[in-house]
Amino acid sequence: MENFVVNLLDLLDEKPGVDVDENTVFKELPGWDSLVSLSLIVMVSNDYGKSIDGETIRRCNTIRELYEAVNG
Amino acid sequence: MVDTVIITGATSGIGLALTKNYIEKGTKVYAIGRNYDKFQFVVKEWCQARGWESLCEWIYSDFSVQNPLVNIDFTKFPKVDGFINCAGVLPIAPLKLETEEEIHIATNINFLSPILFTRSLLKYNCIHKGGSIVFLGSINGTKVGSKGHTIYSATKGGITGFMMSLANELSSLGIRVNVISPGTVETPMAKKVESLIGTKGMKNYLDQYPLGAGTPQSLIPLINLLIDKKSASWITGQNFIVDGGYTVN
Repeated sequence: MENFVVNLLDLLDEKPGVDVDENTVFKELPGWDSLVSLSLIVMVSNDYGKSIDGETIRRCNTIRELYEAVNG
Repeated sequence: MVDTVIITGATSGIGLALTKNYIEKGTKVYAIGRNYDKFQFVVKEWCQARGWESLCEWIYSDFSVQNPLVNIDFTKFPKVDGFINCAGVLPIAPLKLETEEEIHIATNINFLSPILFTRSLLKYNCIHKGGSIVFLGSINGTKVGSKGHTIYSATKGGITGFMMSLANELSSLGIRVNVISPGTVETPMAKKVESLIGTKGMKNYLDQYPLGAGTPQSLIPLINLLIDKKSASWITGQNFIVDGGYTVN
């Protein structure tokens, strides 16, 4: 999970000036937009060999939900 | 009447619809591709069931590699009325996450291989005077630049620039060269986009098309018109946007 949070934050152009953990609502992170969502899809495929689509990302709120969707 | 054409990407999407359309009209199609099994399944068997086997011939070429023409003997290549390049791939990712391999493959398939193939057709005099070349472009790279489409846009914009100069070069031979740049057309490529952005995201995107998404059939009349020297003898060097009104919305 820790690695997943780090990888997720790497997708943002700038580091958020707030503490981020598994309970953070990722869509509220500064700089989160459709391109970062697309980056997430590509990162999950490249780094985890899994797939996640835009629909699933839309349904998730916290980073933990996202992590579980990827590993579910 | 167009007697013979070459079509790349003949086993999927727009290329497949076009291949069937030409065969139905009695035009001989030379299908260029890398997957013979798929060709046999979607084109050859379709032809056989109708007694049209003689109207379609397969020529192997893998556009994804650096030397796509090594297996083609252009000295024995047929002389044709038209060449339509439909082969293409759509890598979708922000540029910083694109792999070098994906960039090379997309550039080969969408840009370099069509150029190398066209070069050989001309070098070996395989296109009749008055013939026509049509490249499938995209609104991406010519009218818009969608996020995650940098490499795709680069290749489609590139092939459009190539077309303009080539049209000028080939004017003395009466060979016309044009690009058709579609918006989203219901093909496996569009399915790939939908699988990434989800059904709802796709619907939201397609809602921006005043006439909705296109189908492969939406493009065929214009391709037919451009290939036929009787209907398009004074049309060359153009990029035709066919997008259901998306870019004026």
